[in-house]
Amino acid sequence: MTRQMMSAVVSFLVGSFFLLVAFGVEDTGDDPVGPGIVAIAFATAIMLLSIVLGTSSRRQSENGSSATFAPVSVFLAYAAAGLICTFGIRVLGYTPVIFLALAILLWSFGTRRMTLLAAISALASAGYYIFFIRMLGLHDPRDLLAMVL
Amino acid sequence: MSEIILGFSTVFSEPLTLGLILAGALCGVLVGALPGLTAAAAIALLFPLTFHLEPLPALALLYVLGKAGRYGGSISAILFNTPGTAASAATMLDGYPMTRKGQAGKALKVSAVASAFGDFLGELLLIFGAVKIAVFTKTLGPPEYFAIMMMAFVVIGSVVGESVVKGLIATATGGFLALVGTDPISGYSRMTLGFPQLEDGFTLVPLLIGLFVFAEVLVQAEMVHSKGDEDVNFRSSREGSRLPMPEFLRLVPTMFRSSVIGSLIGMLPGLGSSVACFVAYGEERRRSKRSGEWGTGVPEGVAAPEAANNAVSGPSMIPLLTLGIPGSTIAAILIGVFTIHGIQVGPMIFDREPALVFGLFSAGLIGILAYGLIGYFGAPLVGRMIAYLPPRIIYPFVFVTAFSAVYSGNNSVFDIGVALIFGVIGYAMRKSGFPIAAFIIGFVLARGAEEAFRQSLLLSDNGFGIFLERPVAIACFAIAALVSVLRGAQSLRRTKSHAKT
Repeated sequence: MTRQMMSAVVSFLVGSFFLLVAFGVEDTGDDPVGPGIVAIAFATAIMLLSIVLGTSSRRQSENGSSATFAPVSVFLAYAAAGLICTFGIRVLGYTPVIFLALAILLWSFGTRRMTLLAAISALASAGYYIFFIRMLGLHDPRDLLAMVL
Repeated sequence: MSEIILGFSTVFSEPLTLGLILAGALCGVLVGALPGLTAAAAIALLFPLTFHLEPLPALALLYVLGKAGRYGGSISAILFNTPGTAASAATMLDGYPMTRKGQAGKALKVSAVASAFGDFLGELLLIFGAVKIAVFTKTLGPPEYFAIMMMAFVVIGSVVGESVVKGLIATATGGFLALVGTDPISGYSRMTLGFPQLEDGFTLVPLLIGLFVFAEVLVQAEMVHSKGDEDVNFRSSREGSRLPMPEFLRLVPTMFRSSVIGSLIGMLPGLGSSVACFVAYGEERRRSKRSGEWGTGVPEGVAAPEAANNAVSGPSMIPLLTLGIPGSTIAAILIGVFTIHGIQVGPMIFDREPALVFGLFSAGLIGILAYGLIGYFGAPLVGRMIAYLPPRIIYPFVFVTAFSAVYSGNNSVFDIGVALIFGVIGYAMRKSGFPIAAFIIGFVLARGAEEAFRQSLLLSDNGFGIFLERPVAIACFAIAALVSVLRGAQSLRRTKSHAKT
């Protein structure tokens, strides 16, 4: 399956999902068309356009370089950093989360010297704490640094 | 004239606003110079930090950041043959050859001067043009607004990006997602899939940060894995760092013509800096007596695209302020800033908030001077900083800064999740050729378009016929149809010629 055809299929599936969700909107009778009509129009447009995209992809060959994607390790690092940020902030607090996310991403981007990685992450997380928590007043659910200091 | 004096006095009476203008100029240059990070991404990052500011300082900071960011992209285009922003792609063509000839300093100075020149002319057009256009747009009602927004959907979706169909799909997807949440007319919630956090709909900040910043982190991670860090080396001789006055004066006609091109393109929603820079480059090359030398490192080849791409900035605010339709991605984000502060954009803003509007114009003019000076004297230093900071160090910091910016908006873990998911979606969109700008503009316009549509039908005695009774509405639908047919035909011709070869 070409990249273009894959885009068309994914778009069609997204449009179908949107249409299903839009049909679930209750008509309240407050106006002539109701709260769902524009959403239905957008979803239908997406489905029709993806059919056009799929049809045109069958006619043209895919010239040029094929799309490359980042290696799986990048997505895993992104997901790990993301999960730590999303779920870790309430448990660990802001500063440890910054430290861990930075360490994971620096490692993923190619920094292999562990002392350097730890040092950058530690200094940076302290800097972020000072700027975002102390200066800008961002809410830190645990504020472990304040407890320590 | 008195209004612009009012604007300057408003800005100068608030030291915080003045300080933020300077900060915006500096940040914009730095961020714009980083390959991959656009001015839009920088605005998305700083946006939540402005929630606690008054409207004028918040808007001034982000508006000037956008301007300076457009200029900042030229630094990496000239020094590293990598455009910092799409708007600087044409600057590379002669900018990098100038660097290779030992004239990096001169190229950077030409870029700074041309950007400020073009931006200044564009800003004057905004200041004097917007007020005149607003007088006309005050007469428009819901049917006209719906038609204008539909035209914007179709035109922007068709013009932004390589593929008309993909652009329209992206616009429609952004439009659909904007409708999630509470229906403005009935007050009932819709399409929230049971998530209470979606009662107020998707918030703009996590979406922007996800699509522009987290997606860019993934792109950069891919590049680092495939190419590794590249060594960069640029030198500039003393002679190659100077821009003598006679040479500057020779560039003025080029800068002026390119500024006019950029300003006209800036007024048309969807086209933007990346189109303006190439149109101006091509036109000046065609006119030049030394057209054969273009591409080998001529100063005019830097001045033309830089004047044009920055001249887009001011006029792209005209459809925003007069109609509530963003003429660019940055303008689309600025709508969010206005909304957060409870200010409705449209022609009435000139009557309701004159101090704010003209304060913003004044901030723009001051910001142009600020980034022009920063660029003229500081661009080589910025270039050296970027050369010594590899992407594998910068982008992890960008990620955690983006996370902090999202969290600072609402202290919401849900928002962080949304931003991360949209980061992956944004990455997939870039890989598949779906323009993110079209998505954002669709997202920003959809609610207003829906409201105008349903209000029109409530007002109508004639059902859908109300749209055919208004000449402005008919004209807008006709333009939308014409542009989509023309772009579709162009796309089909390109497909057929690719199939033949």
